[in-house]
Amino acid sequence: MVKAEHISKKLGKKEILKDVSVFAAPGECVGIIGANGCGKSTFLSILAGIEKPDAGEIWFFKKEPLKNRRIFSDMCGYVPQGNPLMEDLSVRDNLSLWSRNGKAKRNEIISRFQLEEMLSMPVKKLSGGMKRRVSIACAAADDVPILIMDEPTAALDIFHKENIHDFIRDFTGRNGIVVMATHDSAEIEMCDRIYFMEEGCTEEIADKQNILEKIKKGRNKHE
Amino acid sequence: MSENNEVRFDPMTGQPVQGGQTDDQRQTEGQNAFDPLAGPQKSNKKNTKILIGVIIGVIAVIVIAFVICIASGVFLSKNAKVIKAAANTFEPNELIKDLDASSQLEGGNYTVAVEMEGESYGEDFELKASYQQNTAKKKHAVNGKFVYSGTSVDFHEYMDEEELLVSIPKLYPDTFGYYFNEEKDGYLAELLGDDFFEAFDDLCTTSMNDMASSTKMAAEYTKILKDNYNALEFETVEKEVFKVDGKDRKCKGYTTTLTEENVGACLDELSEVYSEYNKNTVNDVKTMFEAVGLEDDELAELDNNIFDTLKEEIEDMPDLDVTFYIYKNRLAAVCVTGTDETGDMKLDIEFRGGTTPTQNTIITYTLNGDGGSIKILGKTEDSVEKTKIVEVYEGEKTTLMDINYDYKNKELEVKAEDGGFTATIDNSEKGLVIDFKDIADESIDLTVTLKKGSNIKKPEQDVFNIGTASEQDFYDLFYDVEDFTKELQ
Repeated sequence: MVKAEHISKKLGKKEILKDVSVFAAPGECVGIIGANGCGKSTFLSILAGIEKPDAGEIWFFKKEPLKNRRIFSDMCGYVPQGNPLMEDLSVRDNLSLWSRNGKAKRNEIISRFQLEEMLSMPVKKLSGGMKRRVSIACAAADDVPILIMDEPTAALDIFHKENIHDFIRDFTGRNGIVVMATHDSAEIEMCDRIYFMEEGCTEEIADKQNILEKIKKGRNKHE
Repeated sequence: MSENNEVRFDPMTGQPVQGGQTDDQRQTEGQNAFDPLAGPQKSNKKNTKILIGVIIGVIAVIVIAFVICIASGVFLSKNAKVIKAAANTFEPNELIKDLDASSQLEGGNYTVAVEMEGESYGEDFELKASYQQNTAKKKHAVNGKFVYSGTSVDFHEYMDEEELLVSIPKLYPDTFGYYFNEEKDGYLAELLGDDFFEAFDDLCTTSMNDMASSTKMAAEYTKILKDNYNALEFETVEKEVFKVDGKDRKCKGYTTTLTEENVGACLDELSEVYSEYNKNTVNDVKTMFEAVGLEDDELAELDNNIFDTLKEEIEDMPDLDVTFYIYKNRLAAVCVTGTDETGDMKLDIEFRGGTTPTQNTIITYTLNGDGGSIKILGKTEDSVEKTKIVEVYEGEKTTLMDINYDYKNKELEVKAEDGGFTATIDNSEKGLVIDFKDIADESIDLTVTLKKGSNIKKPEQDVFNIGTASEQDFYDLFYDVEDFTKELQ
């Protein structure tokens, strides 16, 4: 399971996260929603071990990655909002760079994400959707049980969106855990658990129907 | 995107659980079944640990072989028979002999130079750089020149026990100077504090002294490896048949067991020596990082060294039986077996011989019934050593690399999956010169030269003293550098 409790983070004088708590059980897809700029990306980068929180605790199953940061890389893959790939390198080289697994495992990932035809292409020549697929493949290449994704299908066409949604369903079907930030209603529908983030705090939402209303309210407040 | 043979994750621990079966199959297969309540059944991490143990064991034997064989004397014990055989097995081929730079590096007074030419983004570029070291005089220097699209930038660095000088004349005409034994009362001392500079001074002077002490540290490592190897108990096992130089030969076998305890104890001793020789450096680095705001847990990580990391990796490693098969005083094979709750593993390394004992080497591995092999296949035709490295996995053969070396004409050709290169090697009393052409099939040429002796010179320009420069001096420097940079563009 993934458990984050009472996470807080200041950037300069601004308190981005005040008290964020999130839980995800094995096989669950957990969505974090909220208005732009509410701190979703900061929280996810903390959960992935990229940034350090000012306070709070994180557990991946029985392990505490904040006490041994290697647990982050051993147990979780991260798909940031931007493109993390090396643009001048080929898809194959990016996979080799990001994955600690051997060739056989990489071939499995290549086939799972249907990357065969683009393997030798430099990343800079790929479309946005293709890059996203490669980013997720890189994050998943080490057979990590936890995937943290920041708006995984933002700006993708319906075909590529569905492709990534299939992967998320398959991954959680194998007891993998997905924690993602999203604005996408199809993704919200897929989630087993949803947290609404506002003013640096999270609240778990039991009723999915209220979600759009919550987002609307949050957006108005922001404006 | 889903496939049936994908990894699942244990819901209790998150560990990957291998399996190509359906859920129903898993539940009916006893030991291999995936039961969320029973916790992990198989663990890739465990497999990694077994492999790391194996690799450490095999590497340790190879290293020890090279070291101990030099002072061989009379060999009587089983340990010594294995060492002697290993030493006879790892005989260098012509390529390795021609790349041997020990005579140039001996004494710690040498020059390494690199020259590179090519084209990048449609523009010609050229890089010339050299590193010179004189261990006895405790000084070194780096000099270089980089030319891109018609613009040329020189750089120079010089360091001895008292000073560090850096010069990039195109950016700033003066040399940047830093003096270890001088009081730092300038702007940077105000910013970073006295502790930072005391540590930095100490670090620099220690690094110059370390140039001399590294040989002593290597000797201590050797002694530890030798003592730990001698403490291993070897037993004779039944003879086995292996192919040696094209014929089936019955080979004598000697076996020993590597355990987490004996490997761990050796790593502890190595770690202790490393820490002893590097404690001042680690303390200085910690002081410097503390001054720039690193937190306690991050500072504590600096205490860990490579041996501590290896020890963590072998935690819970199963006992590994390592058997050495010997034919006529050389190794015919090394076989490693181990078992833990995740399953069995086996690694066989067969030295099938040729012009040298390792010219044809077959490495076969199995982990929980899944396996593959790496084959190093070599032959010598006239004066050409031909080596092909092939990987066989799930019945599929992949050629990883072809290496052809003509030792009469000193011509090397390397072909790999992602490109290759050709090179000529000239190793004479004057030095070792390796001339690479068309690296990775691009129009990039590279020459690496290693020669004995050095000619270390200090930059001679006026000095901008970093330790004593005031805030205003730094502002002036910043604006001057900005002007020079504009001229460069």
